[in-house]
Formats: sequence, C-alpha cells, structure tokens
Amino acid sequence: MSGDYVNLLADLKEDEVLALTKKRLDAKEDPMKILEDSRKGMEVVGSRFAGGEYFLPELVFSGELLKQINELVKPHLKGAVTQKKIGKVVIGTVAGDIHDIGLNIVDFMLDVNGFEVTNLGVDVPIEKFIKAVKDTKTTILGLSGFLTPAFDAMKETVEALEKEGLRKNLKIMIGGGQMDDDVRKYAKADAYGKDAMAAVALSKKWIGAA
Amino acid sequence: MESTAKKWEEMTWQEKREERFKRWLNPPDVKFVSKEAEQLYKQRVTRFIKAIKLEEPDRVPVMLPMGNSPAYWGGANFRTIMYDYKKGHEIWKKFMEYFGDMDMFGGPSFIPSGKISEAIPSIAQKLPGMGLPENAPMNQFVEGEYMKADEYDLYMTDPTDYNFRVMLPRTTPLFEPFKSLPPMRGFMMSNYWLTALTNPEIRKIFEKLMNLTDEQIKWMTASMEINNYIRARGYPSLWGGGVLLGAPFDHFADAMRGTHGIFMDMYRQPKKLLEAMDWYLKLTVENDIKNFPMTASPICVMPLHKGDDTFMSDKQFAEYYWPTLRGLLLAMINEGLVPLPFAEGRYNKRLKQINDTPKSGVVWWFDQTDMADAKKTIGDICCIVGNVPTSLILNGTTQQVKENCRELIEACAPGGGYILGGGAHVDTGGVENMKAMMDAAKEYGVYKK
Repeated sequence: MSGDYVNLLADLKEDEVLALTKKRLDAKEDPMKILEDSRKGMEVVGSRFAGGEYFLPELVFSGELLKQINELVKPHLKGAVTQKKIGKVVIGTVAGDIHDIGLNIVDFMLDVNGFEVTNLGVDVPIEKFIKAVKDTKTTILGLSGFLTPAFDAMKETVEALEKEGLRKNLKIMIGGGQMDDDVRKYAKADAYGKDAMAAVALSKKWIGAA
Repeated sequence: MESTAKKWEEMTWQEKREERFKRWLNPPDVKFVSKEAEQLYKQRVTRFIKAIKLEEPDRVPVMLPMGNSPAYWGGANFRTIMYDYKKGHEIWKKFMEYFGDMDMFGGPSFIPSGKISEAIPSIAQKLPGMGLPENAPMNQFVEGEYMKADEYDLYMTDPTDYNFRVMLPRTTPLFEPFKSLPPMRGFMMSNYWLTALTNPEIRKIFEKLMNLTDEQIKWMTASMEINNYIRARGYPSLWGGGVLLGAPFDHFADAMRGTHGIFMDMYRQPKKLLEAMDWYLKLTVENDIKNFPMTASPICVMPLHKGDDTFMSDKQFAEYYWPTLRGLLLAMINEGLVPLPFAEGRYNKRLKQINDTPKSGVVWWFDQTDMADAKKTIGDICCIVGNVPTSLILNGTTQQVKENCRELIEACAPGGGYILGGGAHVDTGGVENMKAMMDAAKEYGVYKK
C-alpha cells in the first residue's frame, strides 16, 4: 500500500492520493507512517525535478498536495512531529528585492533532501539575516536575488556578517535572476549556484555529506 | 495609413513592414535640430532595419541596456524623478551629450508619476518609498491570485466588467467601491451612468481622478517632450511601437492568477486555461493588433517571463506557452510590426521550439541564453539581440566588457541579423562599460564591404 501511496503522490494524482490518505486514516493506520510515505513521495518529486523530468509546475503542485495531506493527517497526530535532519540552511531574498519563486524552489529542494530550512522570505534586512544566523547556528546561508540592485544588497549582507564575526564558520551561496559567478566574487560569497539542485549539492558538500 | 498605390489590406506583411520602416526612417513628427542629426538618425535606423531583415548593416547595431542609469549618473534616483520630471529631463539631456554616439536612446523609462502613484496606491506594485526602500532603483510587482480559480468564465464573458468591478477593487484600494457598481453592460444610454455616480463613495473616486488629470497631463507631456527632444537630436527610440504585449500565458500567470495559481490550473483545469489563452489571443489580435496605427517605430518589445528553460518542460512550453505567443507574433508580423520578445532567463532548450515563424519576422532578445547556439539554431530566421551579463556591465572592467562583446560579435554577427545588447537592463550604473560596448561594436563589428 505504501508503495502505491508514494507513487500516487510522486505522479501528482491529486484525487487518488487524497482519497487514499483518508482511507488509511479511516483504517486507523499510524499517521506517522502516512507522513513518512508522503516524505518519500516528495523525495521522488525532488529527484525527478533534479533529473529534468519535472519542472516548476510539478514542484509547486506537489507542494499543494503535501499541504492537503498534512491538513488531513494533522488532527490524528499525537504530539509534535520531529524528523531527523542532516543539516541547517538559512535562506532569504536580500533587501530591496521582493522576488521569491526561485527562493521557494530552493527551500523545497533543500527540504526534500533532508535539510532544516529557515526561509526568511523576501526583502530581508541585514539585521534579520544576522539574527537568524545567530539563532539557528547555521553554517550555511543562501542569499537570493532577482534584480541587479541585489548585487549590492548581497555584498552589504556579507560584509555585515563579517563585521559581526559570523563569517568565519559560515558558507554563503548566492543565486537567482541576474546572479552569476562575477556577482559571487563581487559580494564575497563562497559559491554561486545556477539552480536549486546546485544549492543542494553545495549544502551537502559543506556539511560533508556529498 | 500612408498613401500608397496598394491598399493596406492587400499588402503582404513585408510590404506593410516596409511602410512602417519608411515612417521610422522619416518621422513626420520630428524636427531634426541639424542635418547632421537627421543623417545620424537615418544611419542608425538603417542599421537596425538591416539587422532585422537579416542583412549586413555597416556595423553591428547596439541596444545599450541603459535602463534608468542616466538618473544615477546625474546624482538623482528613480524616486526623485518620480516627483521631479524636469530634473529627470535635465539629467537625460546632459547624459546624452556626455555619452555621445548611441544607436538608440530614450527618456526615463517606466518611471511613473510619484504624485499619481501616491494618490492611487496599488497592491500589485511596489515603488521606491512606497513599499520599497526610498533608494530602490525600480518598481517591482507583487504577484497574487487576483483572479480566483473559478473566475475564468466570468472574465471571458465580459472582461471590461470584470476588470472594473472585480479586478480593480482587488488590486487598487481606491477603486474598492466599484464592487457596488451595477454591471457595465447596462451602461448603454441615458442617465444610467449618472445614477451609479450618485453613490457618494463612487462620486469621490471620480472627483479624485478628475483632480489628478492635470498631473497626468503634465507627466505625459513631459515624457513626450523628452522623447521628441532626444529623437530630434538623432537618436531613435527602442520603445517606439507604442504597445506593450506579452505572452498570453504570462498575462494570466503574472497579473491574474500568479505563479502558484497558474500551476494549479495546469493540473486542475488545463482545458479552461487553454481556452482562456485562446480567447485572450483573439481579443488582443482584434483589439490591439489589427489596423495598428503608424507609430514612431514598428518595434514592439515584449517581456516574457514564465516560459523559460527552468519554468516549464519542453512539452509544457509546446502546449501552454508557445501556441498563443506564436499566434500573437504572427498577427503582429502580419500587421507589419516587428515583435521583439525579451526572453528573460534561459531559452537554450526553447531555441528549437521557437523556429517556426516567418523568416526575419521576429527579433529575439536573450538574457542568459547561449548566443552562439541561438545563432546556430534560429540565426537564419530571426535577428538576435544580446547578451553582455548585467554583472559584467556593473562590476567588470571596460576591458572585460569589450572582450565579452568581441566574443559575442564573433559568434553572432557573421552574415548580419545581430544586435549587440545587454542580458537585461542595468539600472544604476555601468555607464563607462556601456561606452565600452559601443567601442567594441565599432572596433569588432564593422562589416567588410
């Protein structure tokens, strides 16, 4: 049953996967098992995306399916759900830029690959990045930006982290719209990633899991 | 239309385009300040026309990715110019003199009036000092599901009514009371209108709008003045077509359903989405393209957003994005216009999918697409524009920029059909590096006779 479930979710069969979720809950199955299967299903979605079989529509739609599954399962859960994560990443779109499509894709891909992601959203002021790095004790920070003004906002963010003494143990990756390796040099970040898969590969490398 | 032996409807698209090219070359509304300016103008326009027609001009033409850089060069910014139109013009004039030779130039682009933006704030757009930091160099759009998933039919039945009574109240708080208006289709005769206006809230809106019209006139006149000033000095404008269209998919994905909403529709109601895009294409062709007036130039820049390599698969592009975009391009070509789609992001995988348009009909401007590949794949049917990276223009040395231009010219210029350009507009600087782009075109881009 759980193999079917994983496939239904991975194949984005909305009606079927939701019906099966209800059926399993009605049959008093352990809700944790359903969540574990949906995690596996999302992993498949992630690897299909990484493999060029799925694109943004599939990714976004699968997120919508997961949301609905979680809503169905939630009332049946006892206590908090904790999943083992392989590492922490803080991400956000830098100040002055309000674009988040790419940011959310990176969030999704890091999440399905086992990272605990703190997504600070868009137009994130420098202080908020600093606070999040301190609070989470993350060793990886992802800066996103779509427009050319993000070049300077990234540079200023990296400099501020340096001033705070937080830069030494922190790996910083950048990505999005007009970013490239020249911007990476300009902003003094550690790496530029051209897509969400690159963000995953870099993060894995940096935690020593690659 | 211009008087010619043949009637407009009987002309081939090439003949119609020639008429528009003639008008572009000999603008009746421009008084050139000197013979030299007129000569330069014609030389520059000819350069573009030849490139568009896949012929070899005297040298590779350049579309500088100027954006609003002159403002920053002159010590102002986007926001100051939103409020002080005159200051913007003084800077643009000085900048023009400072820069010298350019193949194309235009006034402050897409800088709205501050007073009007303040009076009619929008939920869908943020501006410097209005949702964005005061020194932000551009406006940015806020996506949302402004149209609900079940409203396609409502929209298609009567788009004007929908926009007035549903869309405007959602995107623009000033127009919230429009929700209470009776259906627009009833506004046929006599005093029906007037009755609707007796509602004090509706009345207040129109009073406010009337009070803003003087400012709107000031802003429009200012923008016309600077563009005429620039053209009179010999610089053709890129935005001369006078119509801003995009892909029908983006129409729904950007402004109406949002990225999230449109992706849901691709799964939950694909037929409805396809039907709506077809409908929108027909409407646009009938209302906006057919009998298109003679404008300052036939070039119509079309920013494209959500069809790039990463957004969707080849299959999805072929099903959802390309058919209606192609339909729009064909209709524009048929009217003698020159559609210039600006493909944001990467179109490497798309190249093989966009090659079924008439030879020399479309000009493709690429952001991060591999230009050598573009030349190889569509270079024999489309003129291509691009793509010095913005990062290089803003932060590179002039030598690096020239080197990049040289490589682009070597890969794309042979045989004609190439315009040197940026990957996207830069907005705050890069002036010396844009000079380097002009230098590179002159140094490496001259066609041997």
